[in-house]
Amino acid sequence: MKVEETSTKNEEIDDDDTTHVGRATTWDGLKWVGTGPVWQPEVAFESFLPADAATHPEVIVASLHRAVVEVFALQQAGIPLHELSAHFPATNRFDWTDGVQITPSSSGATIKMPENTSLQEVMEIAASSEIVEEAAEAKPTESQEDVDADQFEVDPMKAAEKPIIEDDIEPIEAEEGTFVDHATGRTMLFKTFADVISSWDSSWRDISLENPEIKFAVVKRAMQLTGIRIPDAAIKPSNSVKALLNILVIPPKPKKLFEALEQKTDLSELGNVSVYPFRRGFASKEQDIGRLKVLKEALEREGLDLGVKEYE
Amino acid sequence: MASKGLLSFTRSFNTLRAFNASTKDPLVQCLAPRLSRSMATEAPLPSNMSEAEHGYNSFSMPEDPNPSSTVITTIYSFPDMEPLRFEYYNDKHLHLPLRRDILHRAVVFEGDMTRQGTASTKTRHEVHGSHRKIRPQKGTGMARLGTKQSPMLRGGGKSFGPHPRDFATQLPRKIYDLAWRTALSYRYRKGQLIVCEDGMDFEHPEGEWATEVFEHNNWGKADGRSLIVTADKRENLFEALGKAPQNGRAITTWDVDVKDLLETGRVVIEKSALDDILREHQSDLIGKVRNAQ
Repeated sequence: MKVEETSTKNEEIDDDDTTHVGRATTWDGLKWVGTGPVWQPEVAFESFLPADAATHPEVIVASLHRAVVEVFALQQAGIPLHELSAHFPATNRFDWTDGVQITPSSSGATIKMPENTSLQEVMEIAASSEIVEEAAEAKPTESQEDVDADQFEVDPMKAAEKPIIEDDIEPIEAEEGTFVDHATGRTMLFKTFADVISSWDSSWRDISLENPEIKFAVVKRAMQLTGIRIPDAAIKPSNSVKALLNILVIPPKPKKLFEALEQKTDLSELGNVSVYPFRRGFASKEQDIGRLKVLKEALEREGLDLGVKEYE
Repeated sequence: MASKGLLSFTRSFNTLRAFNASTKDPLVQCLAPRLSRSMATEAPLPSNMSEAEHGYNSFSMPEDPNPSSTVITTIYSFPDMEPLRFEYYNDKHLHLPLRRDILHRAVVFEGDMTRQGTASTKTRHEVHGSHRKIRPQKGTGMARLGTKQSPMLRGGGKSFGPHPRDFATQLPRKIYDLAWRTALSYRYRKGQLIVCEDGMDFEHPEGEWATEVFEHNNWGKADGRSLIVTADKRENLFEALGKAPQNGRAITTWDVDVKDLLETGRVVIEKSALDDILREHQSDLIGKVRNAQ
């Protein structure tokens, strides 16, 4: 269907008839001039790490705790560590480790589950359920309820009537001191990340990671949960959870001078010093006193352009 | 002589046996030690202390009783960057201290040997034309002139102009090899050496795919571009990056230089390619192979 032929008076062109050459109705198969259509993959690229890396320290601490608990849970259950992704799939965002206490011991670490929950049941839930929670990084200053309610554009009252839980999994009974997450209809033990972290026994940071298998599994899972790639040079000296935490939490050095100067407070405290991320020229000063708008409007009326744009 | 530290360990066991108490015997110490080494050159392999799937023995760097002499690298799958396992390398390979002077010498050496050296000019003897004296020596009132190819004249030859020549310089092999490993160590220390599983390739030979993968992994233009090093040419990978060079470049082991390792934001290298490079550039660690006597 590439050549346009003029129809003779005696013939009529049938669009459905592909044996004759005729007028094209779509651009499929036609010759392109210039760059052509933009190629798009059939399946989008998915990497092992999530797209956005966690930045808030409390989120990172909670993710590392979850990674450590999951790895030692597998070890305690006698399951080989390379089956971690089978038991805790990446798509499952169900964090069952909030109320779990983990402490260092001779075998590495021991896990103490909260009351009325058994490790076996919870691991089955984590492996089998297909709950994909949209709740990602929550601001710890807001309550978990508020954040989840904002993220879901569903009326919280209606959502509470239809919890997103599969029928074959028993929902956890609401107990005293728990909170109901209206968006998902699940019971949360804690309101904010800070509460979660302070509820753990602080000795969990001293758990040793000297065993290479344990270290690899924890590092892999922590990278998957936080989105932060841990550099190789930092893996060997980090033989405890605390050392790994420092690597994850401490942000990388700023690449721009402006970002570095922002972190230094002594410059901003000086009254006669201002720091800007860009070079200030004619337009910046005009914008400060409010004259740039007027200039631009006057020039636009004449059909001219100042050639500068306002800074944000 | 036997106590040269690491060097002594790297010789074969037979060599070590030669350096025993009997050589101190004044009657025989003048004799050359007997070696029962084979004539064939053994290419020592970099240390690989993990469960080797390849089944070869880690020969060159025997197990050091001090465990801090090895470094960990994570082997990732490409391109989704899933950690697969840990591998261990000797710190003489990937944890050398930064020596800027050695890196400088190596980069200059490579630049020199890469020079084409084809600049050429004609001397007064090569410029075409007659060699007749163009005006009399005396009597004209003007300066004396000989041939019209004189460099003083317009259209004449060029004195001391460039001629095609070889600009290559020499650099001791051991220093060059040390520079190779120093560059890799520098990248390793900065966390910019990413070792991947063998067989790195893309699914699609499209620039858009390369851009998408690189942006997801933070390897692209916003992060300083990346150098991909493979053992041999991979069709889809090389074609895709050729169409989208703003993301980085792909190169084989035989084409890569020390300068390439230092240029981009990071180096993503296949494990076998890394082993090839380390095996090729460790002459300062392994002594020369002696001839059997």
